[in-house]
Amino acid sequence: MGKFLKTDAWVGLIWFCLGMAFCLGGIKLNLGNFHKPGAGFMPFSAGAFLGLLGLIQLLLAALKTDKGKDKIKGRFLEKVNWRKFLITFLTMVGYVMFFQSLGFLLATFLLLFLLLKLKEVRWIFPVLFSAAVAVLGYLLFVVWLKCPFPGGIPELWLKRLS
Amino acid sequence: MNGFLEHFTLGIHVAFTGVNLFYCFIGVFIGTLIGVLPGIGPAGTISLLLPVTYGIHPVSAIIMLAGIYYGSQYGGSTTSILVNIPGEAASVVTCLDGYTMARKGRAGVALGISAFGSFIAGTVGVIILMLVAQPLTEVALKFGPAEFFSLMILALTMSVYLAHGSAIKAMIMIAFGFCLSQIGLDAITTQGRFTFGILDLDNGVGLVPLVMGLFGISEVLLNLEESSDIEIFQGKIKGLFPNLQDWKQSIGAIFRGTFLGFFLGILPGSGAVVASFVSYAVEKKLSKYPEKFGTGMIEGIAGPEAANNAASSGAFIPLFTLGIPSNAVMALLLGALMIHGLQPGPLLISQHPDIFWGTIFSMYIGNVMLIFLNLPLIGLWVRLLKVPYHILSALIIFFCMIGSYSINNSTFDMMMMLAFGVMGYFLKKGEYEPAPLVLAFILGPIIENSLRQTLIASRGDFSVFISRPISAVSLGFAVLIFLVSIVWKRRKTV
Repeated sequence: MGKFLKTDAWVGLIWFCLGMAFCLGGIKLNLGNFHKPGAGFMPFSAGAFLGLLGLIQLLLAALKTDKGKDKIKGRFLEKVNWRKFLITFLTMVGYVMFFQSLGFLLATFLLLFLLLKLKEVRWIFPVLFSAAVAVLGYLLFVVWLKCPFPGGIPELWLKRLS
Repeated sequence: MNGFLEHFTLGIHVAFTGVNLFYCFIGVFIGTLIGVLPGIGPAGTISLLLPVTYGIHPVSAIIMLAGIYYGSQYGGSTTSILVNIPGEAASVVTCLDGYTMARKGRAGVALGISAFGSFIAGTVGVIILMLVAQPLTEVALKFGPAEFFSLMILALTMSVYLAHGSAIKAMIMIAFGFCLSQIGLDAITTQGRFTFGILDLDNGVGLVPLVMGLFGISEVLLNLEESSDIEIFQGKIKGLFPNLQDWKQSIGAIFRGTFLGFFLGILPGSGAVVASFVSYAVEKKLSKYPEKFGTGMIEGIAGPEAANNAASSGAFIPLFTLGIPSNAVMALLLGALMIHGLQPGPLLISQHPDIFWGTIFSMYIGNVMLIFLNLPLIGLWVRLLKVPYHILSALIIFFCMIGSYSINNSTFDMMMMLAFGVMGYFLKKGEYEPAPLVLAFILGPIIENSLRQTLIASRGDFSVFISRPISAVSLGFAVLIFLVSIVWKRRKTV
């Protein structure tokens, strides 16, 4: 419980700081007055509200003691599978970063392949499935629905060949 | 009366043409599919399919797109009940009791009452829409900014009451949602607020990337951590038809949800999400056993599912009669109408009666199709859910990526979705519920505009919120619910 509450206190501090940031931003934008609220009126109010709540959470968490009670098994305490999280997250970031340059077809294939390989031991299924989805997706979105997705490297190759 | 009969006949004639029946079916099928699949919603799907409508008749286009919207309300409950992942934001509340019912072996009843409740609400909603479009709009027009402000505050307070965890954390989510809604150009002064010079942020944080990230990507990230596939309901789903006792318990909730949902659907910023939350709160309040909500109470499904479907019908009123979209999906439909050279507003019904009446009747036909899609074909959707989760999650991520890109053909929206996905992941780890954040985000601009307009009109006098009866009553309820939820939650934790 102690660890969980400590985390809550730190998070409360983060909310407080975020709220203050919005307050400062609101002040810079011009608060106006009650007769004619300015652009910064609502950001300031929302930030103040957030900051106050963050402070309350910080104080509540800091003041609470476990007094020998059982540990609260909050989700923060559960083991985080950082490997899976990071691989998934970085794969998605990679998809976004290379979407324009690699193109829809290639980027989609790589995205699905890497995501499936997280769990799949064999290679053949991820390769075939990813290729099938990428091609079907291309036919559906680009050819039929005419969505302006980037062609990327394959399109450049095709242009050079033709 | 003659005019009404003439329009009635026109509507039937338009809705029952082969091509419109086809597009209605396509719309509700896709709607159910994306409703079942978490992580992609009607807004993203409609934006993806907008180009498809260029080559088809406007009536068919609106029929299909509308079908996606109300179809997704049906489909969203399927994953809420079977997998405890809301297919749609409006089905978040269904998870509370629906999944518990499934775990107790009553998945069939939960699915059945959800579908039948949605059908009844959809049917009643369409009938009400048909009869009272004009008068209802006139009532909503009487709401001034003070009333809108107070009603939205009431809606947000209810989400604190509904939050399962800490009230403080729910309020933090609301405050943060408010803050996020401030990003972008100020509506009145056009000053850039927290855009940091990034042009993509001038229009603010996109709703679709936000929702896809918080509800789709974050859930996938959480579930991928599980060593085994997530628990999808196994075995045959039996007993789709509720028994007499189930109907006795649910029918009141269904009708209350219908009328509540329809009314809330008319109000801009409300819609299916707010309707489902409010309905849940109402049923909990009226129940003899409020403490049992969250443990498999059938009213906890019947009311909200009816409400979200009725709200999807009610949302068409301001769109067709005033040209004002009440939510993001309606905004996309507005765009679809304008793409086809139609000007939504008071003249739409008189100048293009086929659009309004054809869509109305196709909504009824769509509701009938949805009963057959959702109940007898539940096996098809369950089979979809039995696909190993790592395959489904890869597809969900793919659709989320494509959906967020297709809004503005910008990778910035994809990055924003990812950022919210990671944020949602850590928020859920910290026992913060994202639903109040989303609600506050959607209502934030409306609340701000209402507040500023009221203060300008009243010259800074806050007493206007008390002197106007509807506003005073709404704020009074909000204060009461807030105090009750704080006291009640503190008693729970002591």
